[in-house]
Amino acid sequence: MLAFVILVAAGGVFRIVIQTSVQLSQSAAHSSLTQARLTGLSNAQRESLRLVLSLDALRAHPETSADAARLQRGLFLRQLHAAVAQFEVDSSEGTQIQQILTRFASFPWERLDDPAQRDIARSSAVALVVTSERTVKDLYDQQESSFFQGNADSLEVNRRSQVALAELIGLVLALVVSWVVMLTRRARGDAVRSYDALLKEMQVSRLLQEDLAHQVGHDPLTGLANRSRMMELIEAALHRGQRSGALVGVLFIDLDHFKVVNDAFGHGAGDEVLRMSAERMLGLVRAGDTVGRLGGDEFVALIEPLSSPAELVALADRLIAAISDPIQIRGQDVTIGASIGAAVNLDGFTSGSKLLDHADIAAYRAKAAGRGRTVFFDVQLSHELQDRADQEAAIRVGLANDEFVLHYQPLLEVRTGLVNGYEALIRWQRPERGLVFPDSFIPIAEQSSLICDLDRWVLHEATRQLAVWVRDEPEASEHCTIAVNISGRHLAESSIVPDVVQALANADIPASRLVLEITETVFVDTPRLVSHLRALRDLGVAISLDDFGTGYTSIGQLAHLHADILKIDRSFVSSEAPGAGELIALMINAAHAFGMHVVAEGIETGDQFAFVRELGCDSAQGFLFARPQPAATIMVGTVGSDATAHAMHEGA
Amino acid sequence: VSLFEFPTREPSRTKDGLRPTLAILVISVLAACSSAPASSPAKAPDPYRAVMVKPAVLRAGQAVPLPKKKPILTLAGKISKTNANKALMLDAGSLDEMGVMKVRLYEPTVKKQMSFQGVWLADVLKVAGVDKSASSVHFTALDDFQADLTTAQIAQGGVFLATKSGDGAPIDIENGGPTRIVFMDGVKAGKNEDAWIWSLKTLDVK
Repeated sequence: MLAFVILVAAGGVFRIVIQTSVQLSQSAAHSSLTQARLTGLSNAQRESLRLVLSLDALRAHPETSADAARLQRGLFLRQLHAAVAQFEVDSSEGTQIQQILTRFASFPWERLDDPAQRDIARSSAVALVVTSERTVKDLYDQQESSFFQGNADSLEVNRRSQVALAELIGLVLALVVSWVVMLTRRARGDAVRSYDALLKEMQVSRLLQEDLAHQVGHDPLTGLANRSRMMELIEAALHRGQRSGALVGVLFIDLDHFKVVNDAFGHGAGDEVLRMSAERMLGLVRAGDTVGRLGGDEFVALIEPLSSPAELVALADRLIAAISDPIQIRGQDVTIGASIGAAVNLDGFTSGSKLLDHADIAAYRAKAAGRGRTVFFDVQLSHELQDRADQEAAIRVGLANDEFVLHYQPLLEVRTGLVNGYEALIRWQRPERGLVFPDSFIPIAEQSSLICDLDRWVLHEATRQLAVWVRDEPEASEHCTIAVNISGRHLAESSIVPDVVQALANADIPASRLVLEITETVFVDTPRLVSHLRALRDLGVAISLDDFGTGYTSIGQLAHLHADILKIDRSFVSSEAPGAGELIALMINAAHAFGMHVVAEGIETGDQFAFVRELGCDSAQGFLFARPQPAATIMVGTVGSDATAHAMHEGA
Repeated sequence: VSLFEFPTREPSRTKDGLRPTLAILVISVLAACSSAPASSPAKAPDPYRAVMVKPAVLRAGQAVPLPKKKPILTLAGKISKTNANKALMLDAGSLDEMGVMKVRLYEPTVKKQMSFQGVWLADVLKVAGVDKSASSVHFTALDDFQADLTTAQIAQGGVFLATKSGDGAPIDIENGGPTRIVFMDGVKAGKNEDAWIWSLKTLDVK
């Protein structure tokens, strides 16, 4: 009897051990396959980044770097071949990498050797590498997560079947070995550390993280739903509401004084404030209600079903109270607040974007009314919205009917007095109203994505015009750039880089001929903005910091602003205030120290010109030389009057 | 013809040399349960089949002139035959003169059967006059990848310096050119994928 019990017990142990060893070996096989894929993908990724760098070098030293770029292209493709071999032929991953390979194979690389085509070919090549790098990175992340998931799963199984400690240690060791392998993946001589440095240098990781976050629907910082996910949820709730008759409420929550915290304590502190605020909001909403982050310091809460609008406002007030509780940052109490706009699907409309829009307008109103309060979207706001919608519609119609025109104002190189560029300025030739200046329609357009449509139109029209000048007056236009104003909103859109690439390609002008002017106030250091600016500069486009001096950028920050050109605001040039001159001198010196080109705006008198010239300003723009005028009346390369000669003479 | 007599080789049983700890563990667990299948003895691989395309005209002991064309491979270190600044520079032509063989093998990095033309690496080392005291060769690739093979591994044979594709065309960078190390099926040193060094730049004999 006793012997029988022992036998049964031994049989049980035996089964468990066998089962476990099978699991372990399967897990090892799985790990090693995934490991090979990870290695292949990360190698391809690294070499593609190297390819971008070599294309950069090619721009700087076309003669000496061509061979290196060709070599790097080959090394990259070699790693892609190796990576693609790790996947089954018909798997989605295999197909994706194969597509990348095909795109690279069909790219007209020989155009990089042709000086006339080099810039355009280079920017397309860089764009191609960057998109492929992103795809490879996505695949890499997928593989990586499944790798660790697989190992975690087998660990869990082992724990449940209570295997001996030895096997667990074995598995952990196996994991450690695979980590070591990952670090020693077909590394270059300079190994992994420099690869990370390379990534950092390229600053693509941030961009990649954002894209990835977008795909999974979450904001990486707070873990809340992101904008696109939130829009889906609101739409779904509205559909449910339409069927059931339930009320759906949306709160648009805009943090007050967030910028102050960010500026005073740094971005780390700002992130902490965002996380804390998110946590507090989540603590107040009911289970089943959703809080999302739209970006920056804007949040949204979806409350559904809602018993009455009053319930929504009451919740909003509780949220404000919670957010306004002091937050400890590095031992200091920091207090922020919130302005909230509330909107409910009262009249049964079902568009999520419309509901969110209403809440946004109400939040804007709450801010304007002194912050720290809730405003409910109502009829009066509705009228304002209607006005805005009418004006927006008129702009849309105007765009469709070609009512917009560009006027061009020349920039002069101070040293020579020659025209070295034009700034394109938009005007609205509105039927029955005459020529409308941008200050009366741009602010309206800026409240929606309409501004991006306007920006795109300007980009295309201005680059087209430059192409016409280059064709008709190749000599006179030889040194001319074209400057286009880009709104902060458009800059934050992921479409900005493709928009610019498209405009350049359509006009067939090199990126180096295009200047994007961005006002100082939108030059906030948000990651998305910075990554877009970097991508644009990588294309070869120059970034100009417009209206400098009107915002709150300190001169010391200039080094970090990713700009090539600094435009001193006209108010400084025309200022009679004591110290204004010294201030201009300071800006010019600082900008030069950071390698920036300086433009003085609003030069109206010979004295002003002589003054900025004395201070070493590089370019000047203003009525003294020429007013903005339609392309038809411009003689390229000249200011069309003898004002320059006069000014040069006076200044001399 | 400078072909080696190749000894019979035991192919490694470890499928994945990267995780020996686990393999040993699994095996020992299985062994302890006395129910593990006994490991079957390895079958000897077929002798390497290589076809001669061009006989060697440049053999061990002969001087190697400076390359007429752009050098594609440089040997340095413990070698007696040099043609430039203590190094031996070789262009495609001088590699050809060491004899051209054609081989067919399984290429593990792209997981395909492939043909190559080139020369046994051992023959290249003989032409270079490798010192008897040398114990390893340190390879550096154009992407700065580095790996080593011992001279014993190379002398055992089956290590091939591919200088052309199977059809005789140069190997482009995208396919691991201009020269690369490949291993005949079953060669032990080739089990380690890192030893399949492509886009070779230099061989430093140590």
